[in-house]
Amino acid sequence: MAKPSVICIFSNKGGTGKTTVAVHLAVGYAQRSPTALLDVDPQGTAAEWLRRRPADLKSPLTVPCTGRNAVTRALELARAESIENVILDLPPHSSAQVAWLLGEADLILVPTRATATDLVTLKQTIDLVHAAKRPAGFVLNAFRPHLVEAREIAPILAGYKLPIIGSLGDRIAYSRGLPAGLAGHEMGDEVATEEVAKLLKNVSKARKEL
Amino acid sequence: MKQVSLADMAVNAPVAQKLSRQRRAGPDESVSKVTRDKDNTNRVQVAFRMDKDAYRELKRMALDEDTTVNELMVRAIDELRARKGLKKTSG
Repeated sequence: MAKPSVICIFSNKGGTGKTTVAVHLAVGYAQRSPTALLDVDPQGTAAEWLRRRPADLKSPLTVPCTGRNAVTRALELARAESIENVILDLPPHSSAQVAWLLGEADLILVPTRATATDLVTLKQTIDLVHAAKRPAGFVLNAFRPHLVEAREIAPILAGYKLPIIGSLGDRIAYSRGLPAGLAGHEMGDEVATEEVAKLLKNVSKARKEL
Repeated sequence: MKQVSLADMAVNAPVAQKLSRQRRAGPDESVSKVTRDKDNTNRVQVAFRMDKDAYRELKRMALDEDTTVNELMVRAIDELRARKGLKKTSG
């Protein structure tokens, strides 16, 4: 029984793009190998995304599991059923359960936007991530490379001593795709397709190297 | 008894859809309870040695029951006390 690779998507702040990143990684990995997306956030956005997803598209097994017992069971089953990738979409708060799950991760991804409000609250998230002592990195979400903030964010994030693993742009393909049960790269947006492919490649590399 | 698979738990399965309807209908009973020692004035912290594998099993038991190793130990000690005719600890 091979242990699946567990990737936790976490930020203490809401609206940073946890579900967006989780869904895109899960869809990307599901197209290559058995993948489960565990929706640990009680808001259930990832599970709702799956409910709206067209049945003919390749999908990750999407499991709503907000309780500790349910997550433990799902992780055990993932291992028993040779699921290769488990993506956890964590809730936007800190709790004993979140701290436990971060400790179970092979890689923690912290989505953040390049805005002042996101950066102000980032320290609490990073303190929890560092406490877990697991490999981790940032994913820039809704990233707009032409703005001043784009140039300012790199040195700020460098201060937290975590690498920037990838980015998803501020694109309609993502904001309109998710409510339709689609991923950005399934919306016919070439740039989104490139971004998601690059994110997957970088995350796979980080899993090996970090 | 039918073995439950991850697919049974998933949204993309009838069982999972039933679970999700239950979730929408009311509060999720499976949300974990975090037990905290709010009043520890009459309690002491005790360290002792035990078998490594048994401790791992104990931690797993605590996870399965949504409780803490501390709580399980108190329960075990209470059972021992009951066998010896002593009353329960205050916990």
